[in-house]
Amino acid sequence: MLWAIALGLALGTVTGLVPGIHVNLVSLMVNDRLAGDSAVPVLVAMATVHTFLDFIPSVLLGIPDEATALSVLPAHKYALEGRAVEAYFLTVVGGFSALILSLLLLPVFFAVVPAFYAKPWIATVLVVGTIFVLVLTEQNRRGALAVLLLAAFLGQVASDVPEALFPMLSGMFGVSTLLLSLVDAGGMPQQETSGGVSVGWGDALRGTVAGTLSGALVGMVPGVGNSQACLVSSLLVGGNDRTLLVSMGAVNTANFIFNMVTLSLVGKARSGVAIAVQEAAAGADVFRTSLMSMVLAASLATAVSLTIFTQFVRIVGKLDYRVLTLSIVFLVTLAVAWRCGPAGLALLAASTALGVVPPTIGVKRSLCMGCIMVPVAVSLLGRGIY
Amino acid sequence: MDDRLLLKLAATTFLVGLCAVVLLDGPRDFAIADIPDAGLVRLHGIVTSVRERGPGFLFVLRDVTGEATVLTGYDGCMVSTGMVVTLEGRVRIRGKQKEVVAGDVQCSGPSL
Repeated sequence: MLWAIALGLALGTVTGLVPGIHVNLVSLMVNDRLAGDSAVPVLVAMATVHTFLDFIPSVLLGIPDEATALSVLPAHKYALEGRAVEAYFLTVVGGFSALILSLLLLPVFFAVVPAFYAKPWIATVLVVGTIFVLVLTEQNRRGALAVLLLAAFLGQVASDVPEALFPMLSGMFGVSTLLLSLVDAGGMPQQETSGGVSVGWGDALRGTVAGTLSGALVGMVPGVGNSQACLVSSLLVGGNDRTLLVSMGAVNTANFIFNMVTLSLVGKARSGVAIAVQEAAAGADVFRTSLMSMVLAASLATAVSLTIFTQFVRIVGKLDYRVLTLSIVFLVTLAVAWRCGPAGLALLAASTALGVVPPTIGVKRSLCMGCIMVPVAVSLLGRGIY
Repeated sequence: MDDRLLLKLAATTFLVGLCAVVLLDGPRDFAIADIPDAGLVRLHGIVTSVRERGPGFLFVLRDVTGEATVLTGYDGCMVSTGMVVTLEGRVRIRGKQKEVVAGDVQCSGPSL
């Protein structure tokens, strides 16, 4: 089992650090090459490490995926203040604390997961409620509603594009942020890498509880995903960036842990990796193996990821920010063209344009999550799940 | 909480997890009737029939709960009818039948 976890750690490092190599894709490859229960610890360790390391491209390069999209905004702000290491540290604190809190809460969740699956309307209330709260908490409500509806329209149009989330989220949260930072800030300042970062226990606790509960909720409730968990969590913690970053880290890790709990208890796979684990397990109960793999992978990722990030910062710090930013935009464009074709490029351009609007009219960019939330809400309501 | 405290907590959790893996990993004891659909198992029982198949043996193992078909290579002990054996192996599905592919077979002598 230990060799399998080590292999999972290596693969998770690659999927976490290299934007565009999705953990689901590697899961399929692992399942093709490894037999049955040998694949389970590899898959679980890989996905766990991925939940820690996928913040590195988000924090430093502004390239998000569904799980980290909302973290790009506060993290990039920290990076522009020379505090990227601190921003990443906060997400790692969240991830590790979520592991501990999730382990403590496991008996509770073992009792409530089957009940959640008996009440699918919870997903509808969660999604529709979050949309209302998002708009109503803005001062410029008309502007907020316009951004939400435009994002929803884009999300609906994009439903035919293969792997539409990648160009859409990269445009709305990544490329638009990078282009605006080129105009506004003019460059990435020297980053503080000497260590000594810390977070108050209050911020850590609030962020961890909000993130873990949100991640657990969407890990159990059908029809909603990581992006909805991040939104719920951001609403719970309010406007405190430190708590928000802790909660984003917690959401990511807790969501995966509760994917595994749900798989074990009700046999429902709620993510690509969970599907791969389900196939590899072939009906056997692999929760004990999964849990041990998660604990080992998460604790090791916590211990080494800050060092990896610091090295990453040093390398990036030696590069010209303007060249680096434009190179990233170019690489994202290439990756979109390769994975999604011309339709993906059009989607990237439209999403980037939309991503520029919220800061310009003074509303939260998280409203762009309407691209996922509104189609999900429409689908849930259309299926009569309320 | 600072980065050094986080490192210490992570290292402690890692060591606890490592101990759990060392102590809990590996095959578990099962009665034949309770064999899972896949995974590592440890079975105890009496060999009721043996025949050669491919590069090894195919034998039937019986305990008080039922019978299981076991496939093993020549590198374990020489299995014969009436022998009491303990085996560790991996369960796999062949058609509608669960089959145990034994990685390790220990014989403790004839029971009859």
